[in-house]
Amino acid sequence: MENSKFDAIIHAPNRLQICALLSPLEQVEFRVIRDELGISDSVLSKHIKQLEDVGYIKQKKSKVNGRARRWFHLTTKGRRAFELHVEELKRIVNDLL
Amino acid sequence: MTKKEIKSREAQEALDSINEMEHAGLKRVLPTPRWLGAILALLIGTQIALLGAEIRNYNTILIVLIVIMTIAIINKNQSAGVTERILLSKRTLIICLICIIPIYFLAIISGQYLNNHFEYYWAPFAIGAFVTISIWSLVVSAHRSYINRFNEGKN
Repeated sequence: MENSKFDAIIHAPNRLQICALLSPLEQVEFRVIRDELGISDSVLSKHIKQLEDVGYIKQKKSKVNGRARRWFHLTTKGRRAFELHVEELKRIVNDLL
Repeated sequence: MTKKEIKSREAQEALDSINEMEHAGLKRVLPTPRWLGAILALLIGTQIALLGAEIRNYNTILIVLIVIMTIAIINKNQSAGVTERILLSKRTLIICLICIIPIYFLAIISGQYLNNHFEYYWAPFAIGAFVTISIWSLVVSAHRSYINRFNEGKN
């Protein structure tokens, strides 16, 4: 069983931050991700689409006080890929020590 | 600087960025305030105690207050824009929910039985107090586990 695997999709800075933000949580709203990353709606949508296309994250739509809200969560596949990627980063850092 | 060193530095920067975001995510999840948990525990405990003692005058108001408190807790999580990750599986959660309902009725029936058959007037109130303390303990332990996770993320 593999313990680490570099993932080029996840490694891009913004996507890495999205996955890192989602990893300790159940689900996160679009505006929270945007505010934490400090990027525009369009840039965030682009990265989210890339992560959705590979099946790493999924979205749910809900209405709160009549306003539509989009919630995102890491899928099992995405969580596993993120964990393996983090392990790979740790391995790279430790290799030099 | 060698290629290996550059790769290692980039990896370290990525790990730092991951830690920062994980910490930011956890910071957004505000655990249910202890006072809110204490009020909810007290309301449920009081309801069980009163129903056990067969005092039904305050039942409706207690149910309304419990529902309001539950909605307040759910609404607080919704407005924060994040929901905490529950580490229990869906199956375990369903089993827990299925177990809670009979326990709730068992607590009331036990209080009524001890009160009617053995004339232990204090029994429903003791059971109510026990339920209050149990719920309060759960709230405190959830709060502690959140603080521990938050501190782990910080380190």
